[in-house]
Amino acid sequence: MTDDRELVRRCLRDDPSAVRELVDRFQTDVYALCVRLLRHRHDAEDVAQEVFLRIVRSLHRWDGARPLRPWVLGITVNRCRTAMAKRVKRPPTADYLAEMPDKEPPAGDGELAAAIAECVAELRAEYREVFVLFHETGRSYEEISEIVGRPVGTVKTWLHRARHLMLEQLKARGLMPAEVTPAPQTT
Amino acid sequence: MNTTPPDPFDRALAAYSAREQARAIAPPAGFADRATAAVLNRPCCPWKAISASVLSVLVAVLAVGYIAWPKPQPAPTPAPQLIVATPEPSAPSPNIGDQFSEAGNALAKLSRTTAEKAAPRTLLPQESVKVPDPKPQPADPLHGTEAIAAMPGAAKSGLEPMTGSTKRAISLFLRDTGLKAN
Repeated sequence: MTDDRELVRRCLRDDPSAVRELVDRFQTDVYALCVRLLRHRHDAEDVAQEVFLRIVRSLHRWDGARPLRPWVLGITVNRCRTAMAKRVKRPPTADYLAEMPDKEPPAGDGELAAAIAECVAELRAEYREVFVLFHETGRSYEEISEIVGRPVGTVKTWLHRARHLMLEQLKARGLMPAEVTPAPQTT
Repeated sequence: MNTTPPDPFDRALAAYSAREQARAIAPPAGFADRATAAVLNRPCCPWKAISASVLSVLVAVLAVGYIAWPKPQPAPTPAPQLIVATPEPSAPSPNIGDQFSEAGNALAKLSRTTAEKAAPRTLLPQESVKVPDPKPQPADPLHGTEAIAAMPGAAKSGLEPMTGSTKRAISLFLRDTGLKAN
């Protein structure tokens, strides 16, 4: 925390080395989250770069009493949401763009994992965000609550609804037995 | 001890989560350099850029307003002088009122002169004029003929032949003016 505050203080003094250190420290988390939410590496790189611009511009608004990483990932989630909204408005990309490296076929239980990935992509934004943060990045409810700026109860509710919707879709595809019900949310 | 087998959906989710969390997604090479350069080359102060934008828009609006604002019409260029025949100032146009008054004066003067010249011959002496009695007297049908009959022969011959009514009128005229024969 102290290290974060010192880094932010240096960035606010327009220290180029501090900006580079900030990018180095968070680039993996930011870029990975962008890839997972956007499902497109090129878009993810553009958005991640924009995220760092926003972070440096908004550093003076950061609450030094709170950890820096959830605040950074919160900006990342917001920028990804904006990018997805813009993506809905623009015409669909050509088919060859679907064959990007991030679209590599899942290994192992291939068909089911691929179906889950497709279901995640079809979830509404807030459900997809909490699902990705919980299941794909392994964050806790509290961390997710900090990142999306919602109470923990809301995060749990969204996650439960996301699972329920995914199960219904898997049932509709015949990948899950009809008698399966989603497990209650864990604490 | 919970011996319930895990739900197939939970198993699938767990497998999916384990696989995704194990998948490392590294940023592309040179991403940190590009991101840092983008951050350092950003406009130093966003508010300055915003102020500059607002100022430029304001200047543009003012310029457009100045151009579009209706200007006062410039004085027309002097047209080629037309030569107009103007009356000489030394000869003012005749005033019809003056002309009428002058004519009236001349007429009045002429009338006065004529009257003065004619007065000694036409007007009777004041002492010889008898003011007729304003009270009308009863008409005497015989009086007129008697007056004419009393006239001298030369005057009477100038009046004859004469109708009776004419004689009566002349007699009344002579009586009223007081002029009697003899």
